[in-house]
Amino acid sequence: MSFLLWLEAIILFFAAALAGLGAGWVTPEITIRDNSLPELAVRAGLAVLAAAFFGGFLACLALWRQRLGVLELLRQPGPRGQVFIAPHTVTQLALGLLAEELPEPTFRVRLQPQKEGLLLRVFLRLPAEVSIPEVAERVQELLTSELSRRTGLKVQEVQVVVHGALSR
Amino acid sequence: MAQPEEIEGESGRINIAKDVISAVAVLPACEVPGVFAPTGEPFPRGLAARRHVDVELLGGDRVRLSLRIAVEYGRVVPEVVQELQQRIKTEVERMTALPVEAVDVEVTRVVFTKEQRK
Repeated sequence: MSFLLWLEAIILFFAAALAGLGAGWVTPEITIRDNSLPELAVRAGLAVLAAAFFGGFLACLALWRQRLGVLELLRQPGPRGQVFIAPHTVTQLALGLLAEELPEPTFRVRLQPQKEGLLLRVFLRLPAEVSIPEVAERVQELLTSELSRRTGLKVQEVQVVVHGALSR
Repeated sequence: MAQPEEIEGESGRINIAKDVISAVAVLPACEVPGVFAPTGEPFPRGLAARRHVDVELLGGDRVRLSLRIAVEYGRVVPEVVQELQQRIKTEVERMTALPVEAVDVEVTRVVFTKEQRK
């Protein structure tokens, strides 16, 4: 996963560099059905493309930094050595707890680093008839207390995102 | 071929291969309840276990071990890991006479039993 992220970042960086080069230094020429586009328009188009690719590159770096932050939080020093709980393990535990609380497994969990612990973003699909604030509060309490107890990690915040309703 | 660790004994040197240290380190992992191999199956015994254990030889005959495990769902991970670390340290020091500096444990996944999957 990390390798794919790096690959994506490198490709986006070179794409941005190429588009930037085309916009700034090379005299670009684009002809559509024997009509040449004005040089300024081509340059502007390439500049926009370069900015978009560079934005993608920066987004990849931000994602990578976020993952590093999560990894750092999941590493706990102990008296006999380090304990590292992989992000996938934390996600699996959270999903297991949610499955106990909510019978229909229609959720996913993402981890994000915060200053004093983990931020868990839980994406849920709930049946239309349930009270969303009630369920959200139960989920928040469960994950904050039980996940901390079972992993020793500090869960600073649980954000619940209800992104759909289940049809019966 | 793994580099052997040398211990200076009274009557000569003793060489212990890294593979042997990892095979010894994995023995307690088979006994601690709730601990599985990263594949989700029980820990294999002997040399087959070496792919789940890294042995780092430090100066002064000290050893640092890194272990990858899976933990059964429902267990309190820090408790399981601390028990495992203590047992590994004791067992490796008892069987090889090499001081164990640290036992780093990476929990790579959670194992759900058949009942829990239902």
